[in-house]
Amino acid sequence: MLKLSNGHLAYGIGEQTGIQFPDIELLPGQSLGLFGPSGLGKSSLAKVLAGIEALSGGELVLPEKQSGLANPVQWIFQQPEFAFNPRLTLRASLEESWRGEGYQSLLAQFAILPSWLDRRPSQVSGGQLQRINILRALTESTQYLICDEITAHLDMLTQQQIWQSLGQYTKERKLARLVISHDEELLGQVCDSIIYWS
Amino acid sequence: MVSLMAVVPKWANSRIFTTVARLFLQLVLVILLAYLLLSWSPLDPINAYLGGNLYSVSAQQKAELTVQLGLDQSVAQQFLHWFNELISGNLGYSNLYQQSVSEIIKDKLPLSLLLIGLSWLASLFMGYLLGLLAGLFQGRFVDRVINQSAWLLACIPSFWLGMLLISLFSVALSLTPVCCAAPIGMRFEEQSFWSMSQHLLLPVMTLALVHMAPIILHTREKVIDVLNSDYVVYSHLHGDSKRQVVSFHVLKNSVLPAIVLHFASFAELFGGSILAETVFNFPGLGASIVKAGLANDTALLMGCTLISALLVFCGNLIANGLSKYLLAGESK
Amino acid sequence: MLSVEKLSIQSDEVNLLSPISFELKPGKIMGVIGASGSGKSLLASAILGDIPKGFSRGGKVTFSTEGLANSDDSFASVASVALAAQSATVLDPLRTVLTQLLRRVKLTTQRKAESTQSALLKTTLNTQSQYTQLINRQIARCYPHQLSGGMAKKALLAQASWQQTDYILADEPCCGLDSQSAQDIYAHLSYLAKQETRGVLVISHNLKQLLSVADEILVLQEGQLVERTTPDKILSGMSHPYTQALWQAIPANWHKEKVKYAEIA
Repeated sequence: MLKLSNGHLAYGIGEQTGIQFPDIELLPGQSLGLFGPSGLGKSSLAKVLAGIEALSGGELVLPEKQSGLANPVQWIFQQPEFAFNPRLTLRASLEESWRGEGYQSLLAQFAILPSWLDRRPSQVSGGQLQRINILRALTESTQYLICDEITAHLDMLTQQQIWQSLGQYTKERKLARLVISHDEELLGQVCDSIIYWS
Repeated sequence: MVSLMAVVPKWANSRIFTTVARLFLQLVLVILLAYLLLSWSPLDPINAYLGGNLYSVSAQQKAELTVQLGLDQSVAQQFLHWFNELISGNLGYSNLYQQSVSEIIKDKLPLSLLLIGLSWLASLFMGYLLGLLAGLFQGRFVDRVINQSAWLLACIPSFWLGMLLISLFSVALSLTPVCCAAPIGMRFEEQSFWSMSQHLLLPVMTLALVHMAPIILHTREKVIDVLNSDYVVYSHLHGDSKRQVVSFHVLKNSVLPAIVLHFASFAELFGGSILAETVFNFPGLGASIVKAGLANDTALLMGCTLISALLVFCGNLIANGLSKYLLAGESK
Repeated sequence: MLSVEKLSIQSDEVNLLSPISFELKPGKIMGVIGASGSGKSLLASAILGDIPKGFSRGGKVTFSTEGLANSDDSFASVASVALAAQSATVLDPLRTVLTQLLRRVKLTTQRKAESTQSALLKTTLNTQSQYTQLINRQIARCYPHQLSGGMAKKALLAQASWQQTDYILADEPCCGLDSQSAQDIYAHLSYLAKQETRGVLVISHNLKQLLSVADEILVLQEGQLVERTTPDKILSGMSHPYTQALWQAIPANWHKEKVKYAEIA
């Protein structure tokens, strides 16, 4: 289970101000939406939940991370260009996360053509790269997905296709999802419930 | 990490405090390193003190001299002694010049600053202009000439260039004096303005030529960058002439980075001035450092090192500050 | 009227933009919709004359005014078209927004050789004017890197509209904005079209927003013009299947039944 209560993140040394996070509770199989205008700190919240940044105050319950396996909480963010090593081929990046070729069976489900994998990140389009980025986060050990504006810069058709594939996959594997977006209608379609953060 | 931050008091976060602390740390490290190097010097300080006439004194006189110069103490003891004196404001006494170090610095620093300052301005001005021309006429003959010359200049050692210029202009053409900052017997300030210019011409030219190369190359790249930027393309698409684009966009976006970069090259200029002062026999601080090193005159060497470290630090500090305020818009 | 005839961008191996023809009338807003890579932004660049290296432009762009002779340029007359760019990189990073905008005004009025330059400047800065409604003091004083997403889009739109051209090309004017900022932008675009009778071409990947403001819509797919349609036709399901697929891809429509053509008669 993933739970955040009274979460607070201070920034700057000795500063009094900080970000007060809303209370979040994610159970397996649940899809929770987070709606809020930009600049508030939605990405900081994602980083805290993914274990990348430490909380200044409050309580955070994270699923157990087994040594040797990947973090069960995976954070996927808006710009896939920054998520890949530009020198590796996409296949190499995928195999680095999956530690093997387990991803092959999922390529078709996410509409990824095998020929793309031999290219470098700069040689594929934004939509293609984001799909591969998402696939990279869906290893065996993943239980919780934090989707941080993952389709904000993609066109409508790609966005629809990605959410269809992702929705199907998370339903099959009973993954939990926190979807962060400023598109209310998208959240309405994709989430069971929505938190409005102001 | 978070708990550690809570321990640091609020006033320690201020920019002034961190800057002063950085300066202090840098100076301490420089001093330690310089002292250490000097203590490993194979040169015999007694020999230097006596001007090479090591055998002109008896063994007993030599022993007395050793104590007087403080050389019987260990390196650490000597250093602590010097440091304590420094804190109370006393830079020490130079055995080489038989004067207090502060006086020597007061005497020689202005000339060095003049030399460095003029060279800095000349290399900035000429370097920027040439870089701008090269960038504006990219690929054409002008650009190729300037580009190749800049690379060549970047490889030339300043002392070699200085000697070359002396043999050309002073010896062969007799246009400039052969050496020194002033005619024999005169102090620098006593000569006429014309004479001063004549004596400064070659050293400044040497330093400026060698140090304009980075500015030329950097400015050229920057100008090319700006000409290919989205905002210049937009201006062209909406009817701006090349002249309008250059005067509004190119100049400001290339001059400011050049100035900021040049402030950070104080260190090289100082190093270059040491060589130039030696070649041209200028009685500046740079030449004093060399002489002090060769004579194992610890006090003078440490004093000069301290001043030069301060100058370099100031140059970098200005570059840092300007970069934050003038170039905040430049993004990676 | 802005006439685009068989406009294309191609090289020996690749066709980026197939020959496209359409007209843009003053006072109208035309939308251009398509997936990424469809050539929407390329269309705007092609009209302006900005061709990527190694490619050539085919076809022509002409401007005609009713009752006057055609001004037949094979490149768009700069005095007639301005671009509201997609990203703030078209702003000089070392100058404030206002400085740059005023410079645009100055240059274009010089070019138009209008004797009423000062009068134009006064109108531009008139507090009652729509121009200052788009750019407030805060945006005007900022440097480009200090602008948030919404502020940047407003500055970019102002950069185009302050040039007083007959036609404006707006490239993704609301991409990534929240609904309030998007509304402000579209309100200004409507103002430009209706009140100032300028011709506005809006490029967007957000079909829903476009439908509320455009008079006509061009649909592009992989550099080709799929169809030219109207919002009414799309809403009632009487448009090309690809267009309908784009409409279905809007999150609000994901679970709606596909409208069957046979039922619309």
